[in-house]
Amino acid sequence: MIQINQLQKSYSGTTVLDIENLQVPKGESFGLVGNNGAGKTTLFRLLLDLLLADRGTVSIKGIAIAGDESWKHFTGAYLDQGFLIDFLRPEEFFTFTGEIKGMSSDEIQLFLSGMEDFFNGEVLGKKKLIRNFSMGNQQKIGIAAAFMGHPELIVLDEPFNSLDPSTQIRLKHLIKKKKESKEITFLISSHDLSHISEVCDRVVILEEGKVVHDLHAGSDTLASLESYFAV
Amino acid sequence: MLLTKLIAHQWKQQRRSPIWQKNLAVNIIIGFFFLLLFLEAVAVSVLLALKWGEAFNTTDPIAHYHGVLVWYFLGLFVFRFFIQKLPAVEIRPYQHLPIQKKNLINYLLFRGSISFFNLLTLVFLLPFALFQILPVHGTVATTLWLLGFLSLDMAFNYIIIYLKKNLATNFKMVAVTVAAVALLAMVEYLKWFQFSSVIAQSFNTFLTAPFLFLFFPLLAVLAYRLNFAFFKKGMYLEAFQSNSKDDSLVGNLQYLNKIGRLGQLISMDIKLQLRNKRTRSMVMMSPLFLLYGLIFYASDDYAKDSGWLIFAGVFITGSVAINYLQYAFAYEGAFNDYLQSSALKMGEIVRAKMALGTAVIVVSYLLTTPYVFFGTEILLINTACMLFNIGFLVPGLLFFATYNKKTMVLSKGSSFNYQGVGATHFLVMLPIFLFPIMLYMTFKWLGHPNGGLMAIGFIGLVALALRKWIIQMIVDNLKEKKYIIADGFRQRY
Repeated sequence: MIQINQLQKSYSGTTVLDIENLQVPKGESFGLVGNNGAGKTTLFRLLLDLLLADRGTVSIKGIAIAGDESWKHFTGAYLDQGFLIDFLRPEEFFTFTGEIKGMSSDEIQLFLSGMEDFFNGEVLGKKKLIRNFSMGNQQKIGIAAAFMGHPELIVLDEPFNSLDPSTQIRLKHLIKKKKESKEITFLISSHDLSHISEVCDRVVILEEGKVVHDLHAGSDTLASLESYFAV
Repeated sequence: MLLTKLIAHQWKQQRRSPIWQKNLAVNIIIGFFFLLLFLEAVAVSVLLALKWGEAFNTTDPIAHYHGVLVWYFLGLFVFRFFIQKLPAVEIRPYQHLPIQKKNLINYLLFRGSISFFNLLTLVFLLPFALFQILPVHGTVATTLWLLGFLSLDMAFNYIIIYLKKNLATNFKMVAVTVAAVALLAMVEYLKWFQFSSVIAQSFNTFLTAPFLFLFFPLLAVLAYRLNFAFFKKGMYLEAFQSNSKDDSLVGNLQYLNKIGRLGQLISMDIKLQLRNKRTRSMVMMSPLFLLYGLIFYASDDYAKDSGWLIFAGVFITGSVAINYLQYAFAYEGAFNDYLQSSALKMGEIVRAKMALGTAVIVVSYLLTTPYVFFGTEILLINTACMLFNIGFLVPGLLFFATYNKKTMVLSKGSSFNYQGVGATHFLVMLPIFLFPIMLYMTFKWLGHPNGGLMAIGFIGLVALALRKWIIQMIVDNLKEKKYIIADGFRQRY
């Protein structure tokens, strides 16, 4: 699904990302962990063609992302608040996003009613602009929007952040349910080691922009992660 | 001392703000401009004070001045009502600290009393006090007179703060205020009840018993106490948070959504303009731009056959659109990452912005057709300039906007807010205005002023015909600069 070759990005002389080769097969849920400044967000931005790589290529489904835009039709992403249009109401935002992704209004309604549980009644019908929601609810809106359409790839940067405990669990359920069919490839970063080892088939540790560990799912993923990050 | 520390923090905040530092050149130019304006105001005020009687052809300058003063204060009240606000957010970081509430409130109200308007009033009052009141009524009366009116200004300041804090600032209230003032003006104009002369008369009476002026300081103190009590009771965070009542400001613009992707994008842009503080205040100011025609067309100074009228035509039909188009992409800076990673095509976005820009120009044109009252040639000029604006200005500004990599922060009001504005934004206006003026002047010099108008309109039509090609150019430019723009927009401020 994703192929990364010789990808390099540096800011004023400091290399922040340097990945020789990384492949994510279709249907895999891929976790990314690393301390602050390890390059997680940079990798995601490069992947979404929001940054220009100094060197190397990223391709999604065999499409080189730079210069081609067709990958956008099957990719959903939520990295930060830059992915929200804060002066819209949630319903308006979902309609806008859904229509861009080619959904009919019935499909959008269906999607939203399927998300009711995840929203926990705190998002829809509130007659509030997105900017007036709390951080956690904004996060919910952004994550939900990433699931719209029929994405084959979903990129979430620290999705568990600022979510309340119940919603964290709901999000884990949601991801697990979606990945059962092996139709969606997930790319998720997190600082929460137990969440990430729970939902991901594979966890990669980034340090100073380099892949230092590539752990495939197993009962000991969490233990290895914890021992790696132990101080 | 707490007060001085808070003021020092304030000063640091101003000086260290990236807006200030990055736009130093612009700030200096603007500062110089304001200094100039200020000095001019002082000079005019002094001159008027010296020769009030001659200037207004009146034998009793003081009584006449009092009449003017009524209108001055009324105008100031309205102006303050719209512009003035309490800088309440500033005290947020201090609220949880062990600082006495009353100190914070005093600071807040103190900050709220410092504004440009106070200076304006002083400039207006002081020369007249010195040159007209003093020689007639003596030192004591003059001092009381000055103190009285300065206090009245301060009382207005606090009354407005109180009103604005108590009534939600929504369109309804604004409408009611405007209606009330309009009603008063009408009653006055139709001479049903000339309250202005009654008030002016009482000012005159006050001068005969000057201690009566002490009523105004008393009023100011009362208004201050009123605010103090109000804040003391309700100084909690939510009192200062923007209320979300204005959320329902714009309907869903469903009809626009029905006309496909383009309509959807236009409706989003309209919502952006109306639901963000900064853009909304710009939109509310735009009728003023249309009124500029009164200066250009009604006055003889801008002689009928000078290039100024072309400037006026371009400005009046284009100024509202200019504000929108120059920053068309920067307005969306906050969610640029969303747009870039969505399946939207750049061309769709550009076309939507062009359509909205064009619509704004056409509406401006239609609203300003009454200027035909000043002569049919004005309608011709406006028509030519509208065509020029649609064909040339719209894509020109959008193309220029692709070079903008500073995002616009929309949550702050627009007055005196130069965040995201660079000197280049002013410079780019020069060729856009100069080009049609020079074209017109050339034709006029050759003896065919109407040919000049036709040429201006014709250029607009030619550019309109080339629009497809121009859109492609803008899209290519956006794609080429995509990463630079995205990076720039991610830097808030």
